[in-house]
Amino acid sequence: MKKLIIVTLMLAALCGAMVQAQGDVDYEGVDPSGQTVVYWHQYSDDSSQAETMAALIEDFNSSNEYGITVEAIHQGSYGPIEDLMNTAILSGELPNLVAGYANAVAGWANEGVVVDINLLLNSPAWGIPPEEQQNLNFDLLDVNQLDFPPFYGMRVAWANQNSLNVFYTNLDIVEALGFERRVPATLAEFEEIACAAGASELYQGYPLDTGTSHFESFVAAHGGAIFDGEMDSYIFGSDEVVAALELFTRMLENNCAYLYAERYQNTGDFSIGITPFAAGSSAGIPFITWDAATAEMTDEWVVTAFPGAEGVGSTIQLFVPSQAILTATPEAELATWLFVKYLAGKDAQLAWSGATGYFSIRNDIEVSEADFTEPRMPFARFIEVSGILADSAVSVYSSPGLPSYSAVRGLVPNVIAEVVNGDAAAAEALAELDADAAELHAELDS
Amino acid sequence: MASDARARLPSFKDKQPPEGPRKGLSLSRIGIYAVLFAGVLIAIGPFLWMISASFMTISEVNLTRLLPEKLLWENYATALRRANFFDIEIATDPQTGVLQSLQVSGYIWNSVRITLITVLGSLTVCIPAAYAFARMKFVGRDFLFALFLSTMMIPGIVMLIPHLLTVIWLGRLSESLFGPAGAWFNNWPALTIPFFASVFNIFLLRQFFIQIPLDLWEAARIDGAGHPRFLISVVLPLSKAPIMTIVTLGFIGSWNALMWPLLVTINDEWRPIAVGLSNFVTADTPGDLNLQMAASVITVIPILILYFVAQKQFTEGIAQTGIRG
Amino acid sequence: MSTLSAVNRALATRRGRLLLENLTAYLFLAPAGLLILLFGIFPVAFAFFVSLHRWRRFPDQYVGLANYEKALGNLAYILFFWLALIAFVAAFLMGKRLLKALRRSNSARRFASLLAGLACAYASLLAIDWFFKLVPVIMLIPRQVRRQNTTLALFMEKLGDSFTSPEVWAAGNALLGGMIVAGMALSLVAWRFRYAHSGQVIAFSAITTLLVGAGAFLLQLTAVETEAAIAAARASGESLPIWSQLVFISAGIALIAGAWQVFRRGIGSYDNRRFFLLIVGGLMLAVGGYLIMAEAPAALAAADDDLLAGFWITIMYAMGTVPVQLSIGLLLAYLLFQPIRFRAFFRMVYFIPYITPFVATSIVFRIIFDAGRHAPANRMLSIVGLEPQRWILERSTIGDLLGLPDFLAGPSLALIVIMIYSTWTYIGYDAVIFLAGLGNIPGELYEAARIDGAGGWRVFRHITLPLLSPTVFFLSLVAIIGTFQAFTQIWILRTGAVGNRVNTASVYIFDELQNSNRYGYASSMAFVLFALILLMTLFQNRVMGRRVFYG
Repeated sequence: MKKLIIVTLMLAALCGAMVQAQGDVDYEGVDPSGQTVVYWHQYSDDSSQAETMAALIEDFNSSNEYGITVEAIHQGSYGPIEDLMNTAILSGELPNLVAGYANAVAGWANEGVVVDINLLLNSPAWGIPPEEQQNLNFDLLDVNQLDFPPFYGMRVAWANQNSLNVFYTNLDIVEALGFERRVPATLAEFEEIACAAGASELYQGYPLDTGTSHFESFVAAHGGAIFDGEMDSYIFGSDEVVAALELFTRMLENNCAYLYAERYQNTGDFSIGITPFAAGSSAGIPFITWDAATAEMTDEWVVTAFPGAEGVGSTIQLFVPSQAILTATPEAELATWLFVKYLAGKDAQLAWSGATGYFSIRNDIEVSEADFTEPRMPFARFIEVSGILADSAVSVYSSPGLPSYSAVRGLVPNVIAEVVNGDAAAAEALAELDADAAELHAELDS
Repeated sequence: MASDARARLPSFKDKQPPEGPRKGLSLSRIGIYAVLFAGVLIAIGPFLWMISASFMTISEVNLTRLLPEKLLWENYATALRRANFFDIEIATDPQTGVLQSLQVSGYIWNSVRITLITVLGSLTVCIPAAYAFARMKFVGRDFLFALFLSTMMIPGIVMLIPHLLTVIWLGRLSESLFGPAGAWFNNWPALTIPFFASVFNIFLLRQFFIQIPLDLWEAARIDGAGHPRFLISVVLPLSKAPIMTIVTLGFIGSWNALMWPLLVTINDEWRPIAVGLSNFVTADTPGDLNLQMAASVITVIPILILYFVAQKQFTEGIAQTGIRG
Repeated sequence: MSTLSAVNRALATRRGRLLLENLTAYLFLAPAGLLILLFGIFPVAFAFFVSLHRWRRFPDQYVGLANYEKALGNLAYILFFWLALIAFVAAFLMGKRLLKALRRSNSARRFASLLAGLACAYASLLAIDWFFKLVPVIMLIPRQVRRQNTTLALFMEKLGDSFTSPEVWAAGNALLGGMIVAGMALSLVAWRFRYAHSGQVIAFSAITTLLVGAGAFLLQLTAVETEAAIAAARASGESLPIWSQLVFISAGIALIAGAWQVFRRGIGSYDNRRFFLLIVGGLMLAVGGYLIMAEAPAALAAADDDLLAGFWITIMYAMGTVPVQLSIGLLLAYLLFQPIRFRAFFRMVYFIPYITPFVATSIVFRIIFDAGRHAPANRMLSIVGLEPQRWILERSTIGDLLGLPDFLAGPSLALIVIMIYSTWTYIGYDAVIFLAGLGNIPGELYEAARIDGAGGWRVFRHITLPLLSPTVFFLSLVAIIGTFQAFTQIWILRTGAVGNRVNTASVYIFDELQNSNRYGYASSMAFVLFALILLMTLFQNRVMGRRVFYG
């Protein structure tokens, strides 16, 4: 029996040595002809995203000169995709292109199944030439550029459906509550108006959610972050994070905010005109517009960045779900890249952005009203949201692209719930969370 | 032989105590009905609201109305279209009108196929095993039975990864033997074979087989029948009710299976209904509750029909196995 | 032809018939047995193997009991010590049977059988060794084939290679040798040294050896790990009193178990003795309880709080659902059993919650128990004149909400909603099975009771309930096993706002598996859960099994 242990030890050492044994591939002489690219995405059937993507794929399949065929499969939302990717990594039979957030992709990259897109992007024969690259928006694309160990400059994925976690304000309600008819300029103003709404007969306070992304937006609004790249550690104990959580606690305690259960209930309540504010993805604008029309809500509402704490200015959180190219034969990897490159092209970006309302990864296209075909969203809204991203006064935040972030974001809601419920003090609970996150960071991000 | 044996088996004919609450105060009978109807209300209240909500507009659902103002049948059309529940493509020859091909697809069809294979496979595997435990003497019988039973206590989570490994590698082995049709992954074997050897079914059948009178076996042996023939020609005809119980429970189980099918299917070719419904409900865009309700109602209907048809046999089967610990 | 008739003749003898019966039985069992081996037993062995490693999707380092230590603190070592002890006790019991079988004959042949049994045990150990060297190698194939054309042929080639990789090959050869030796020993016994109890001796000696081996392995593992932990603690200037905790907690458990035995004897004996035994039992219980209460917190100090909370929530969940669900189910079944109309209709309707997919019903329950003022549950409260509640969003315990002291906290309101949901789902199932059980009670008994003039409640208490006890036992067993594995209901009804206040052990383990991919740690916790379920079941079997009346 002891022998068994020793052999296992040897075996373990062997696997350890194999983890990073993945050399760079030279794509110059590779021929992508006739490859099939399997693409797992999360666009639910019948949505404008799914339809547009299907049309783009059809166009690519019929027009590309190498006879590459893309097969797209809808796999439910990101959760099921992550489950399926776990299975695929265990079995070794991977799709070629898969949708995921930076942290999930980083986890896959940690297993060595993700292709460094920089190698393809900068390839003389197949990449995008430097002068053309200037037209790409690297603010968005670099969310997937992981410049910390163990990735060392890998570009693990390619952004394709960029949206913002925006701040919605119902101006009519703000005015009805006796405030100036504008978006609150600071968090203090926001809190004051929300409290007034909570105290009024007609309206409810701010719909608050214990989710991690939503919390991060408020941390960013305090001028902070949950991870410090330079220190290479989570900073849940920092003053900004504590302040954000204390804001939540205070607002709930004073009936300035309420918790909600059903997904998307926050924007749902906003769209029927019972809350002055809501926060949510800009991808939700079509649904708010549509729900507001159904409920015959005629108030004027605007979409902006988050008001900041004293001296911070406005902030906005980027959501950049992306597509990762997974390891396969060099031919298949190259074929997959050619599809990704096609999607990054001017025409494809115009069609995609115009039909879905997502931001383009290109600087050099402008979606005109004629191009804009998303039926449930007024063109003006699209311009309004695009304006936020273009505004240089708004500082941009995005979640850390770490494998451990998947686990850490599972811990955060519990801490928020604990604190807002009065079971623990913010500073202590966050210090404990910081220790747990540090442990996960040490164990999972290496 | 079988018919006179049936008479000696414990049977279930909606028996009731032959004494007389009937003679008791009618007040107590009213009480009984009151409790029973209250139970009905609680049991199907949520279910009825689900049906009602499936006909509502989205704002009616949001306000939790009890009844819709007007029945929106189009919710069902939309739900059916969006969720790929069921689809038939009939190709006929344009000239002669002769049927050329019939393509059935969609989650409901998948679930029906998976359920049928699971239930049939489970019966094939469990009946002989249960018979061996009930009627045969062999070395290590009690130990093996205890071992089988103890596997019921293993938390499902422990199984997830080893099951995946088994399915992946056995599938590859079978694929290299039988070609692409032999694949396990994203194919019926991964969805069904792990559930063939249901310890619960073996247990249930064993309890029933034990009660079959011993002299039937003596008679069969004098006639020169061995165990296999006795099982097929005497035991099985007697076991309609317990088999029906297993079929019903198996149907419910595989109709509702969610976690495992999610992991072993990568496209809609074999993906079952619960996964389809779950994908529809948890889509990454705000869903419409009324459509979700319509989709839910659609998934429940087939299983309701089955239970309606099978319920008498089902209950009888449970009674006959006499479930003892 | 002549061989066939020879076979027939051989099978016609008593021994032959026995052999045939055995062979047929094993043939009947083969498919089920194989599948249960693959999908029931292998997973457990594999999970145990994984739990001794750092393991993230793929095998990493061997870490001994570190995962268990992380989950349970020092209690992990105590647990493994007890597992080793259990293996030794089982080996002792099996050894007693072996000795009995050996004594049945004084033929020298018995030693041949004994040796054959030992050879078989050794071959089994080699088989386990080979298997657990092979499996990780196969698991790692997906890593080796990256960047290659992952065709089936490639995978099969790599699969073939894994059998010939050095360690696996060596272990395989050892196994082959062991199997040849065992096979030779067995055939030697069969042809030359067979006697009436050969089979028993072979089986018992093999099992005894395996159990001793398992016990020794577990004990050695515990000892090595404990020493390592103590040394590590000493190096950092702390002391880790695992050994003393081990002694005290074990003594505590032994005393409580002893007290149980003493009480049982005491109840059955006469006045004086009874009094004395009860006093002794009480003392043992008190001392044992004190030892555990005093030592357990320290032993659990380094345990995973979330896991412990998960166990506690699981227990509350089980206590809150099983009795309620069974008694309401029994009540409905009993009422349905009265001479009433529409019985089939009721039976049908009560079963509907059980057959409706979770995905569908959970949406409705989310709406009913929403926190909003318009949610049906809150509307009902307002009719009665109560404050609206936050239901599935309520993290506070009912103790908090009612202003009770801390030790009466109980489950969170959100957990209660989930309990209601779970109860709602299973009542119909229980009622239908109870109804079937009621149908099995012979009518003559009621007749007799009526003649004796027994009323409704007494008939229920003294006839219905005892005769129904097998059903009650079965249902409660299934329900308890089910609630300890409870996952889906909680998984789909939990909200972020209640945090971990509804996470049963299963849910917590699944989170660990899914979010962090820490397979090793998750496996160790799942294993502890398995041990707990097994323990509960055995306990229930002993306590309740006694009271079951089998008519």
